[in-house]
Amino acid sequence: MKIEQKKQEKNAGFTLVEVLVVIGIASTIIGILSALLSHFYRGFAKGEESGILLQESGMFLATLRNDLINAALGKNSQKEQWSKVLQSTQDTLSFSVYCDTDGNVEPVIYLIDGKSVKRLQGSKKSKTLINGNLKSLNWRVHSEEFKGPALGTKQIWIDLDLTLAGKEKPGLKAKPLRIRTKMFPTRLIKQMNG
Amino acid sequence: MKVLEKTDGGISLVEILIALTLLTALSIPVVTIFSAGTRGIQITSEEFIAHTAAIELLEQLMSAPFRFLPVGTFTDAQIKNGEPFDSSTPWKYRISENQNLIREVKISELKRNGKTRFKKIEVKIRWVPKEGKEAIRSVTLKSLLANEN
Repeated sequence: MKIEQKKQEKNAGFTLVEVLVVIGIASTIIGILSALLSHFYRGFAKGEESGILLQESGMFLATLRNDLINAALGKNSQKEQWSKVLQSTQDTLSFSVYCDTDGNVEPVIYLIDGKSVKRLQGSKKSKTLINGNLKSLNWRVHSEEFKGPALGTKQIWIDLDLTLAGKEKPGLKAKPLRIRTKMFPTRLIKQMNG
Repeated sequence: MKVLEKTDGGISLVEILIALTLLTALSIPVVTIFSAGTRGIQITSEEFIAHTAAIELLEQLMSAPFRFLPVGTFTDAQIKNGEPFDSSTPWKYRISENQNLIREVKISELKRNGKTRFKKIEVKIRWVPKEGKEAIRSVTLKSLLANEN
């Protein structure tokens, strides 16, 4: 009888101390896990945002660079007009590019539209290169005509300062991506100095 | 009876500690994987900026008239915005400022029948090494400029 009573006492359930210890350990583990998960989530969200910014800036720079390679003076243009081939305002960058094998050119316009950048070529449908992630974009056309031994040779380039920032999300501040570069219309420079 | 009492005793502190140690050991690789992903994006971003700097340098060298492209090796100290390629040419570098990158240019001549047919341009961009470490990562772009005269 004594043994059975002792066994019953042992099987009666958990003591308050045991329950408190379990709750303490469980809370610690849940706390660590939720902190880790939240850290991972923020890391993923930031990574995704950075990926989008990199993709958009890469696409924009590659398209602009490709267009600048094809930038040229038209068949009927005078060489003296070289400094006016690339035109920039605060919101637009425009120039002419080859559009066929006969040497004809058509205008290409890069347009800042709020937080987006669009590309328009001739009568073709406009293409959005940066979609809502633009923070700032400055493009300035520079040119120089050399004197001395290189008399008459000309250099022209675009000074580009691009900053993209992801869309604001609660509790998440993605690092803006800033790219400063200079671009050279290689073919046009050769054409001017040829 | 003693054995029965012992097995009904519940989980001991040692068992809990072993379980926690195992859980921690298992979570380390998971944490490392996530950190590696974040680091990967950071590296991609840095490489994109270095690649843009390399193209900037290569494009301006490629657009220079053939006769104004000097031959030799040019270090970061010689590649300065607004300064000529070298003393023999009036063409100037147009460089966007970036303190984290080291630039280097090598230009060599490729001759045939005594005449320079091409100039080989090699642009190398390295990251400024962290203190006490050697610069390992770099981006290299190469191109040929033909003598059209």
